[in-house]
Amino acid sequence: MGCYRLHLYWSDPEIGRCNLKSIVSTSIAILSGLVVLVGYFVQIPILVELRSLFLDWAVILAAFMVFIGVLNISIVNISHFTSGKKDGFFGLMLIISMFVTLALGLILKPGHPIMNFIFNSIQLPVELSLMAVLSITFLIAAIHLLRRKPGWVSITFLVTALLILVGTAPSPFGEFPLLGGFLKPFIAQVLAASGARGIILGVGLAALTMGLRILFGADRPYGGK
Amino acid sequence: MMADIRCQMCGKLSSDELEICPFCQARLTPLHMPSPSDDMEGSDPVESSEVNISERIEGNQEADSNEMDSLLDDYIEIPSDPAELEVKEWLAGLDQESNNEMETPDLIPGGSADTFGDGSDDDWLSRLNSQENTGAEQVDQDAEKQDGYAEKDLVEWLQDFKNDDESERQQNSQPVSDLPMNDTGSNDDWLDRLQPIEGSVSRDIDDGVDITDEGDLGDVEALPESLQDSTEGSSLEEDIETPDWLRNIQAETLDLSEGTALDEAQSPDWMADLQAETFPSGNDVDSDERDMPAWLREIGADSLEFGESNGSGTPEISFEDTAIDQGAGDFDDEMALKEGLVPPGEKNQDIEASVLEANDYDLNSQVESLESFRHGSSLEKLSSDESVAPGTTMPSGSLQDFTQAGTSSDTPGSLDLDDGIMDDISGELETVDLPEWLKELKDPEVLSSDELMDAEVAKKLDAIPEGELPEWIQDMQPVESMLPQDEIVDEKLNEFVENTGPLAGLAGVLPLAANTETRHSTKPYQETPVLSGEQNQQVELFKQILNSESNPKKPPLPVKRSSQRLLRWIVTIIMLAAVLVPILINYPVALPASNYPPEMIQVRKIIFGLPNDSPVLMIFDYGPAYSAELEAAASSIVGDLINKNTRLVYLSTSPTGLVLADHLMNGVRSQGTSLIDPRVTELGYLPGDIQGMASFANNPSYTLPVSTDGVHVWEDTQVLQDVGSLSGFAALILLTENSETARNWIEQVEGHLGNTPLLMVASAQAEPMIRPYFESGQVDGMVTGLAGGKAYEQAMGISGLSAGYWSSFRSGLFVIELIIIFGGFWSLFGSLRDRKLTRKEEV
Repeated sequence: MGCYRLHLYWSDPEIGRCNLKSIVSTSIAILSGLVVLVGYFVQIPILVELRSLFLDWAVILAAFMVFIGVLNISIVNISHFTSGKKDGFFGLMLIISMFVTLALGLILKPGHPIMNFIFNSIQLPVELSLMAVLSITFLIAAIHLLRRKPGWVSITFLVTALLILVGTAPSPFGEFPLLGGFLKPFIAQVLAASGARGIILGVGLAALTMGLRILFGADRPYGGK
Repeated sequence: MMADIRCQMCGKLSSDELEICPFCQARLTPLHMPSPSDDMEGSDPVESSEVNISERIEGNQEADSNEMDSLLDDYIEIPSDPAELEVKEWLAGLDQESNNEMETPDLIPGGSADTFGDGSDDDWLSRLNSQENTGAEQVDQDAEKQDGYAEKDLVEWLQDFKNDDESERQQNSQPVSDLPMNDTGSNDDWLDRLQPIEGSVSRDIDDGVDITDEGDLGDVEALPESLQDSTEGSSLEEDIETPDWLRNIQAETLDLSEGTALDEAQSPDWMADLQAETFPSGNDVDSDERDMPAWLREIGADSLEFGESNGSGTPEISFEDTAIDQGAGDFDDEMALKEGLVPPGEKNQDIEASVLEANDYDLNSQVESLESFRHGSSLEKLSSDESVAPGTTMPSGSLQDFTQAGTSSDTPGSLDLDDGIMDDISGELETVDLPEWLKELKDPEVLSSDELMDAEVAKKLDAIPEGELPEWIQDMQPVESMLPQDEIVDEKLNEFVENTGPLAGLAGVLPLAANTETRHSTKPYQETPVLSGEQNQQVELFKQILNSESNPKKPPLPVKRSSQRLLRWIVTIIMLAAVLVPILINYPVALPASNYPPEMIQVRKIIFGLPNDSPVLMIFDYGPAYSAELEAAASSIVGDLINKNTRLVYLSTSPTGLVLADHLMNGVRSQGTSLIDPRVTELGYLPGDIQGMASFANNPSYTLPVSTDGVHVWEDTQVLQDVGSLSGFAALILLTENSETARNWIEQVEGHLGNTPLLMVASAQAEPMIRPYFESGQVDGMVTGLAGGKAYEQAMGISGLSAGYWSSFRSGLFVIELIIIFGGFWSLFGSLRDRKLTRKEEV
């Protein structure tokens, strides 16, 4: 009876196509994961070779994905420019700069002074400036925090931030011994560290669970039912 | 001369001999007996019988004289053909009346429905008394008032006697059960079978009794066993079921002292005899018989004759002893004596003699006269009664049954009196005796055995427990049905006489236009529903909702807030001042030694302990935005490494990492921290994120075999020839601002480092997430942000970028603290003030 049902199940063309695709992809994923995992624990030459081979393939795919991303950005911005959308000129500028840099890099190599000049003149100051503006923005937000969301949570947040700031650097008028010597290390190294530990442990356990689910075929992020 | 009868349906004339109209096949002669007068109360025959007949006649004021005349005229011309006679029908009607208590034979022509009320039974004898007492005119009126059924019935049953005499005994007609049944299920045609006994005493119709003596009363064998047995002398009173209308007569007082003055020109002869007959003059009967009409007495005589000559098996008609008015005196006694029912010894001798003397009793002629009377009365009734709607047919039933039975055979034949009332009727009519019901026309106070039996039967019936209806049925019953029947008396209904339709002439029927007051009038349906106040509110609300669907809602206006540009400028100026002033004044600020973080001390130890010309791998995985902080923190470390003539090999998993690495190297050179040129090898960009890390950690020479210069550094002895894996490096320094990147590197390189220390230069924001790895021993040392770099420089005794940034950093940090404090308080007070204002507005 089970075989008959299985036959009927597979005889359906629609069901058959979907299941075949799913089975193949799932099989490849599981096999690859097992090979890499076992290669970590069992030092079998063939497994080591296979693991290295799979990792190389993954590296190549990841690098190609960056190239794919660059192409995607180019297509989107070109479409914005050609469709006449707002800020389409900026998309064109983006594409020009990107391809110019790409060309120079391919020609001059990444370490060429021109390449460095472009980076140091444009990208680095822009990002540094944004970081500086961000500090002012956070300061203004801290000023208005109690006005917009008055509450004990906001007060606690601000008090904690003050303590950390005070403990980080001594004041021009001198160092506060309690704050710098005890309070700030206690907050940073005890309270914060304990929280961080919990987060890291949770992340590790989640990654382990996800890996096992992929190996077992429970999760199929690569597609298929 | 034969009178024509006008058909009620088609209005065409046809012979009165016919029972059915040849044109439209409707019945010509009515079958229904006239309803009793208004004086009758209720439908209880016993009660109705107790009403004085004279009172009824006196109460009748609406007799139709013309109708009476026609009835009398037609009465004279009763055909002799028994087949055409419809005498049987009225007898069947008698029987029907006795069962349903609705019909009352009107034996006295001229009686009216009003006279005798509605549905009362056994009134024909009472009518006799009433008519004779009130006079001829009243009788005429009564007779005209009737619908002819009474006269017809009288004629019919008398005619039945005639037919029974004339009909053949040998006719083995259909059993009684096969005869057409009336509504009550009893077969009235047994009377059709009854034939007068040959040679019986007969009288002229003028004598008031139209009873034929021709023929016998039918075959005894045809009678049911009960009747047959009864003919043998069994107690007829026990077997006969007396009609109710006969029972009623028992209670009536036949005051026949005053004869009813009939119009001899209009009333038939027998009726004339009734009128002229005055008790006790000219009458040999005693006082008891004085109460009886003459024709009844004659019938009694005939019955006696029938009883005498019953030895040949003549079927004996014995009517049940119902509530016949026993005011007829000894008439019933005569019959009873002849039939052997009444025990001897009673005062019947005189009666017996009188009966025997009535030898001239002509049953046949009397029946014929009655029949003609019936026809004529019915026709005249139908023709003269304008109120009768055309097409009105007499209710089928006993009359028609009698007619059919009469026409089917000349002789009564056998009677299977096995149904209903027939079963209770005695069998053979041995002699021309008065039927049992006539016997009861005597002192109503004297109850015969039959009456007792009836009473007993009534008691038994009453004793029958009524079925208990379920509660839900009882709830459904109308209120009227729950009330005792005595309470439900609609006097108005009894008074009403229908004039149109098939029930014309009947009293006590539900009028068409009656009870309109009690009729439940339905309220007119209102097109516009009437809504209550709450419903109207809901309707309005619903309308608003529907209207709001079509109208787009205006977005809520944002809360208008004051411009934050001024505050931003103020804060910016303050910060700039806090940062620039220390630089301008070049105010050095030393960091106390107690503030050296332990992770920085470890880094200092490791770097200080690195041998010269050792390969050190540096991984630049930070972004341009954090380059200032990390360069300030790592410049001293890189300077020390350069001063140790280490072979710096760096790579990056970020596309901008290599450029930042070069920027750092240039800054170190510009600061003069390094005394020699650095020996730097760029392995290049490591793609694949975690996979790349894992691949490089597993086999770095395979993953990045060539530097960015195209040199196979892993094969060059001056670069990385002695380094085959990560464990070949003297140290691995990771520069990153992202805790995730740090975690990945830690996880991937942990198993491949061996004894190689892993050092980190991290941003202050990633310190909390990386410290656990330091505390767990996975990271050997860590320099965190500008403070860590300052501490490292101070510990190394050098002055680098961190020293130059430190004063500005500290002052700026102090100003930020003050701004947060004062700004927080200012915001807190502002929010409280706003709350108070809103509360005041709400109040």
